[in-house]
Amino acid sequence: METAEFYYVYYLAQDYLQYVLQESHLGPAQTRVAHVLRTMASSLQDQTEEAVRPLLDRIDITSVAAAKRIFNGVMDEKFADGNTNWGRIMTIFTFGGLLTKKLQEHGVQLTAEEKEQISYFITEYIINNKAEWIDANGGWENGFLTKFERRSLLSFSKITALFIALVSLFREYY
Amino acid sequence: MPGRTLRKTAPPAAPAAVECALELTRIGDRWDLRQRLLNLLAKLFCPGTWAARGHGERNGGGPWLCGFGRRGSTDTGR
Repeated sequence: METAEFYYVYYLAQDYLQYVLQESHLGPAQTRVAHVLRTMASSLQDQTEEAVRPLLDRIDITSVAAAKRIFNGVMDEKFADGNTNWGRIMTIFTFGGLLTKKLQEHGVQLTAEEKEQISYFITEYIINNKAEWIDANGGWENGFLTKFERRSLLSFSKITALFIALVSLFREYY
Repeated sequence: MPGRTLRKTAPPAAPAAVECALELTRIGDRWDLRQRLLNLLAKLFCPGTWAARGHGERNGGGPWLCGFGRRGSTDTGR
């Protein structure tokens, strides 16, 4: 039987995939974590697609089962060095999103059940391999949100511009 | 070569998958570093808002430098 934690991550995966597939019936995110994940991971999605798509074009992904096999293989390889951080956790979602898009492009009709299967294997990987790390690092609410929510309020470019302006001002007078 | 036993080598573990993993690792690490840097800058420039966040609040006042961080003054529009 799945735990509450499983369903929490399952909802995040499901919501993110729906967002990536731009499903028309998709309303606003139901939780702050899901909202931040949509915002953050979708900017990361473009980078992931640019870097990984040409490589994925060399692999046949014609079924959900094949996508699951590739997903698990790539994830095991990605974390093989034993390091985990929130950036890498986010790429779990973006890679899942990319695989889902690839399936669609291959003409695989993604029914609700198949989308659930994809969300399920993404969740399974996170719960079986990363749940401990996520808990130890504040969980989704206190770890992920603390780290990433701020960026949606303060623009990176604005802070950087401000920092550069202050340094220039300082150099002018000293 | 005669007299030499052929060493069995494992089939290459899907090179494309390995490259994918490498790219994802790079992207994830870069994003994480960028976020650390951003949070550090935010901490330096907006210590008030940062401290308040720990209690689940959003600081309405705070240093003037952080004014652009208030709701409605961002470029994300979300």
